Amino acid sequence: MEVLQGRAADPPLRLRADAVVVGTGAGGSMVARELARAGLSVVALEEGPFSATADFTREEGPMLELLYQDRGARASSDLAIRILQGRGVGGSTVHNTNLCKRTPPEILEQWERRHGVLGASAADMAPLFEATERDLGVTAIAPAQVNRNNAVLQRGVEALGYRGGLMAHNRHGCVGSGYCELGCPFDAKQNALKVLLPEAAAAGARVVSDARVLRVVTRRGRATGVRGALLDAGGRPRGTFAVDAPAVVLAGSAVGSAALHQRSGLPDPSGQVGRNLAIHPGAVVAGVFDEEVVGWQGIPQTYECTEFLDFSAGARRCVWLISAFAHPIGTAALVPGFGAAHTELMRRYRHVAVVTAMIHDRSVGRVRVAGGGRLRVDYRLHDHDREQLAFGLTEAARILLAAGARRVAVPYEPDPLWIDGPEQLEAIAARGVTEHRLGLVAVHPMGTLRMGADRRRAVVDSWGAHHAVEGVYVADGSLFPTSIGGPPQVSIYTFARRVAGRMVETLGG
Amino acid sequence: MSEAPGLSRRAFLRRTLLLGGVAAAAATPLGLALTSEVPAELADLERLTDLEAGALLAAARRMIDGHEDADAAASDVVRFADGYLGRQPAWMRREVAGLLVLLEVGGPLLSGRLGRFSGLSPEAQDAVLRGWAASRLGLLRQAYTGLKGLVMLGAYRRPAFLRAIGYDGPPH
Repeated sequence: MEVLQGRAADPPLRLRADAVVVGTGAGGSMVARELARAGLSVVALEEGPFSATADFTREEGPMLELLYQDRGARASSDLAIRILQGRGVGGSTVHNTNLCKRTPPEILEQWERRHGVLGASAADMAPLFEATERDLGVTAIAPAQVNRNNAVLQRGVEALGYRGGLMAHNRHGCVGSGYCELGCPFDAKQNALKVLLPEAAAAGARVVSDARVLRVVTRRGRATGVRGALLDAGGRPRGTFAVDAPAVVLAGSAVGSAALHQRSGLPDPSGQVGRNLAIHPGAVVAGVFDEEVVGWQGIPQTYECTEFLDFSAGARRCVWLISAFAHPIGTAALVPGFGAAHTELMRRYRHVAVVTAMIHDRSVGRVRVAGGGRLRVDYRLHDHDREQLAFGLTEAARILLAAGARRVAVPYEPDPLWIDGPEQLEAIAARGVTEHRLGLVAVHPMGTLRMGADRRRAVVDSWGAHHAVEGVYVADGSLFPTSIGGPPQVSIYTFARRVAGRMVETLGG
Repeated sequence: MSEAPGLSRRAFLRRTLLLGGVAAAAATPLGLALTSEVPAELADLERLTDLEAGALLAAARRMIDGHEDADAAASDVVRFADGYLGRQPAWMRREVAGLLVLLEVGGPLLSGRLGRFSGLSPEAQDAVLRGWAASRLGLLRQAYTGLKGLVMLGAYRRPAFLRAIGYDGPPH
């Protein structure tokens, strides 16, 4: 795939197209491909670099800096929740763990009933999900692909008689290296970088990397394009660019798109821009086993516990339990304490299995652009979500004990809470979840430019078209009116496909 | 037990810079020099001042204690942090600088402790760090989280550390 790299282009760069897509992750890549295939001229812009398979070295430190926003340091404004998002051509699809799930039907029903999202019932969306799954080559994970960390989870779930099972993924030719989250050096991910963007380019789309969009330009209430800065290899501005286009698609994630909307000064009659942020916060527990687990080897996430995953309206429990093994830097940051005690815990690394409890959050955060243009992600856990997380950690610990863990650690700072038997599990709820006492991580920001028919409550309509600015569309996770309680890539690809379809009808192709 | 929540990043930066500045201003009359001694191999850092490097070096030594080459690794952490911060935006560099100044000379303000952090005994340094980690003040818990993250980011890149924990990399 040919990519025009901003670090090498001669500034100022000026392009013209029928549509400019800001962001090349799941949503942006799908829109770019669909529009290009329909005969529209498309420019797809990516702030981050273009990385080839050979650039994925599997070294944790350098890959965190290469593939993640803020070089892996993005966090909520109070630093309590680490927010991991992709940066680079392909977006978060380059580092995600390839889990494929559709938007739950209960969620779609709630979006229709409570948020006025039209034409997106489970029946409406089914053929679109199927098409996305064909695009990505989604297949069921085979039992032979379950690594030891996931086998521990499965063993514990089955011992307790809980519901669980293998998931589906978009990998072909996977060798089980375990480095999915640091970029796949074996080119096995069937993602935006490997599938959608090359197909977009083959259909005539131009992909530009190292191009930071600074604002969406409008005239008399309609979009006319974008303006931005070309970046050097270090991410520093080296010149300007402009793309003139009557259609602008915001697809830079729920954080990036909301920020761009605000920086551009676009109208916000609903007052919802940047609001309604959901992130699926998660916390982990670790079980120490006599046998080696070596959790970093093999596919990171293959098995899930769905015993407590209830998406029905008013459900008391909606917690997803999956394995979550980090490489050394990520692990060292989460292991509580420091010094000799911390080092001793780290020396048990090969014997540890880790499970995360990720919640379908009701907490509502906000993305803002603060003074000086700085990005700010405000998110504070609602009491219900604190209780959900504590519950999830309790069940994760119960599962690890049932799987044979000698003891389980809940990584409170500065001293972990050790659980040596089921009779001690109630201590987790008693301790609770408090910011900076327990490490929290989020990887699925959503909701900040939500869709809906009512322009008083939604930023865009049910097909991603801005209610107040003609020619501006949204095609990423910021569309979702609520959390979706699971991995969002299939939902984002698919809703973006839907947005593109309406754009083709509107713009002509 | 109610606890103060963490601060927004902007407020955290303002508070650490303010407290760090006040601490620095108060330090001289109290006999605390505004420079710290750093090993010769860290004399050529590009972004961290001697005071900041001294604080980070001392903190890193305590945080990765227990590894065989912890002292050498701590110097590597400081050198890594100097380069890493150069790749981050200016506001983050200021945030880390404020945190390190607060750590090094903030004792009189925060706990009544006299003396620079880097000049304390290892036991006293551990007590300061644990105090930050367990503090009811969100500011200090945030500072601990940030400091620990930076140290571990630099430390667990070292092949010796990876060998020590049995991390053998991918199968070939």
